[in-house]
Amino acid sequence: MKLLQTQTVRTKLVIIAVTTSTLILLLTTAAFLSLELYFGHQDLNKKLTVLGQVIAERSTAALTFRDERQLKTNLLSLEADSSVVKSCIYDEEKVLIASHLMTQDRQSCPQMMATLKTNESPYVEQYFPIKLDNQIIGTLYIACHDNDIISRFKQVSLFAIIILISAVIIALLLATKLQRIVTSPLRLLATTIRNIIQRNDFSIRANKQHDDELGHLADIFNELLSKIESEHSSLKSSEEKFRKLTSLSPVGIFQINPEGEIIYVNQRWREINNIKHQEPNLQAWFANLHPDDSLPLNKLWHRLVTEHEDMSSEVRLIAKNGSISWVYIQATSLHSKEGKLLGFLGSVSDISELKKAQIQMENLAFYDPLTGLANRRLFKNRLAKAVKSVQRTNTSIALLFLDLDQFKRVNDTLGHDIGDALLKEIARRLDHNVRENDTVSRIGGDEFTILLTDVNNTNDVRIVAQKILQSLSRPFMLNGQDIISTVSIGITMTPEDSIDPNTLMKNADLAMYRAKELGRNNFQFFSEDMNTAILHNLEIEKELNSAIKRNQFILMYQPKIRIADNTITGVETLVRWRHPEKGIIPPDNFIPIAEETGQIIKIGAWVLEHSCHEMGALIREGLMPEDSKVAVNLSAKQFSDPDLLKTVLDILVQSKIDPLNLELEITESIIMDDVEAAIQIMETIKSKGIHLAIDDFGTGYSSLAYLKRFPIDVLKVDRSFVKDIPEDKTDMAITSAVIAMAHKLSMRVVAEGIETQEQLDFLRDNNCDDGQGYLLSRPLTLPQLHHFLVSNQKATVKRTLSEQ
Amino acid sequence: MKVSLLRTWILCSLISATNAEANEHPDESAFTATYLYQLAKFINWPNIDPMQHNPLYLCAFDSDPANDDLQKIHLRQVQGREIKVHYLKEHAEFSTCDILFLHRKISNAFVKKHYDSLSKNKILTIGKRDGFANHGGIIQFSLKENLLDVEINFQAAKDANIQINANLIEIASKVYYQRQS
Repeated sequence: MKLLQTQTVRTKLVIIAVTTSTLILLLTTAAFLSLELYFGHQDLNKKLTVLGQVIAERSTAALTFRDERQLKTNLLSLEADSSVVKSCIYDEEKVLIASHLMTQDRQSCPQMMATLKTNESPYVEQYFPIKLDNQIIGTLYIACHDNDIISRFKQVSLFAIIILISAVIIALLLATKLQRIVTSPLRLLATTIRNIIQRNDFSIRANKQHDDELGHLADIFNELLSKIESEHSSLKSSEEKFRKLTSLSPVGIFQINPEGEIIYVNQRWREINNIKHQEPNLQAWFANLHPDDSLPLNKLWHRLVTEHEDMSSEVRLIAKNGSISWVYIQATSLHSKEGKLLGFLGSVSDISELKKAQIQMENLAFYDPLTGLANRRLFKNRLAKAVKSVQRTNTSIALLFLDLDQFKRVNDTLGHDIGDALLKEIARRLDHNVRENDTVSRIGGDEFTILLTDVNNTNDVRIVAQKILQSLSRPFMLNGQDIISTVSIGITMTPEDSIDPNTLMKNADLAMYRAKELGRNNFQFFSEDMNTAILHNLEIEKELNSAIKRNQFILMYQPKIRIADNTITGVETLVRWRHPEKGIIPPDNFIPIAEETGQIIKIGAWVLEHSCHEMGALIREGLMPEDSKVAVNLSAKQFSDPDLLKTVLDILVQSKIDPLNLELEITESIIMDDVEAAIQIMETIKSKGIHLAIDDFGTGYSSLAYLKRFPIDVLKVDRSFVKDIPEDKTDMAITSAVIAMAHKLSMRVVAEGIETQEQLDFLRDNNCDDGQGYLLSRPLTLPQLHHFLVSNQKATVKRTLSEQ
Repeated sequence: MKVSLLRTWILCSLISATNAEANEHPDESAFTATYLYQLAKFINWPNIDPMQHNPLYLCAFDSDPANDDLQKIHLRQVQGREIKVHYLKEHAEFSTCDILFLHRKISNAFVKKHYDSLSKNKILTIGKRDGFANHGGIIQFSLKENLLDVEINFQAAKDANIQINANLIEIASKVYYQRQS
């Protein structure tokens, strides 16, 4: 079988054809001959049977009557058949009666039938019973040879063999001739395939010669070719697309085969890696990596190659001239549909510019763009680090909080450009006054911090703080102007005051506020009192909440007297807090806190409401003149509350008093905080008919230019000016000037804090309109006011009567 | 045993050859019955319903010396029919016989005389006397040289409507085709 398989199709076909025909012929011949033999014997037996039966039948009488002559005659008739060898007749005793031998047989009929050697003899034999009246009276035995059959068999066999050989030869010849029908189309197909391969031309098609299985094969083959052709062309166009894309790509593209060799790079890749004409080499590329980036990238690359894990990384390449460029490299593995590795594909982008921008942004994240100082974030980082380090070493660190005094004013009056220039110059001066290791940061608009590391004692810090104050107190020459700007400094130490950064910042802040409170342009060390103060304030805040809810406030009224005729023109409302435990708490002890917490709004509204209400009652009762005013103080928070006007108007309606019966007192400093806005608010209030008074005049920073723009009715001279009359000539001059100026501006003047007659006389002499003070009346409760008003009325009537 | 008996018989037959004509050898008469029986088998007796009891009457004359031997074949069957041996007086009625055996001592004139009646009654006549067949007897048998010799009058058989098996006719030494000579 193996031998057959190694033969050509042609030989195989011939062998198969010949073998098949030979086998069939052999089979047929063998069958035929066997049948021949069989039927020959069959025929002989049949013949023998017939002969025997006839002879047996004929011999009944002869046997019965022992007519041996007749018996012999009967047997002789068998000679007609040349195949009969011998015949014997036995009686019923199986004794031979007659026999006839055709040839000189070695073995003649035995006397006893039993001794006939049957089955062993080469003859065809049969026994025929001779019957008379259904009784066997004897047996006829006939033996025949099959020589005729054999001889005929031999003849036929010979003939068959001749036919067989002839047939084989014919089969051989025919097969040899006809195999071409099969092999020729196959050879043609093979030639076509070879052509396609050699020319790489998939448009060639096979010829279909016949409409049989080979023709079908040609059809199928052509179909396959069409498919290959179309896929080939899409592959080509796909490759073309790839080439075009990669050549135009702004990103460097590279392709590596499974063996790790670079098989393709685009133009951009060459540009990025500065390899113009050489063959790109992977190992050489890796050699150009920055030492710090080499190992990490190698690890990633290894994982890509062994586990086919996608990789990306930012790495630095060192050029021949030593310059460093940042690149972003990505790579992935490519696989066929069956999962076989085809290679690796990757990209390289030059991100040097990006990196630069990134660094810049990082800078931005940590540095103040205007001054170049560290910003809040960096400062917090450094503070946290410093605090940690202090716990390890045995040194201290000082944290200085610096808040520029009145910076807003500078910004508003001189413009933002000057403001920025000022900040820059301040930053420079601060930086100049500290060591390398210390950190100066700008954490807010006009807020700076300084972190002094490695400090031995507070004295060192004190010296630095003093230096800073001195440095900043020198005028700043900006835009041709000399600008003065001072700073308030709060100082806290770690680990002495706290080891928590947040607490330290809070401490420094408190200390800085204390410095502000103490007049600015100074420094204060944090002390626990400040904390105490904070806690105290928190307590007050809580209690104030309770006070608001439980109506623990009471109003006191200080009458305002017209100095000229001693008549009441109105009252100023003062709020007191009747604390259940602490007793009466004056406003100075809780108003500032309320202001800070915003509780002032509620308190202020309560004060306003009650004041108007009671004033309304007093006017209606006739105890107060119809044009009298109740003056209520507004705090800064109240003043800037957008709902202020609405609240006021609602209260006026509810208490049924005219707007001109209400006078709102606003301190000069509140107004000066944001002049333009204040003017607008005041004008709005004024438009409703409500009177406005500027309180504590002389203590703020208003200029005459502004004053003339304020839509106010009353100017209240601060008590500090009245207090030293008649001792302080300056104060007297100021007061006199203020009164005159106010009158010129059509404002009324009220003097506060009149405690002596001299003061009163002076004010009268200077035409001050109204006065307030202990001399005239201390603040009164409502019942007390009632009593006062009644008495005053009576006195007025008396005077009038006496004048008349 | 039987073989030696046969040999003995043959020997005896040879010795008594001279007495063939006048006297029957006592052995020959013993075998007469056998021959009669065997000869009866070569006649195609008419097909009779075997259910019906229909014997073959074999008649022999009283004077037959072999009568005792004839008993040997009494009730033996031929083609399904029992042979009933019947003895007749010389001039008795024989019409009921199927087979009439005439021994040697009976003259051939008998058969000549009664030919018509015998034919009419379809009786198979078997005799041993010389000339029996020639004179109208159907079958004549005798021993010659220790071999059975049979003569058949075919015409007589035909007249009596007796069908004789061809094989018997074949071994007959003489076959007569005339009724009587």
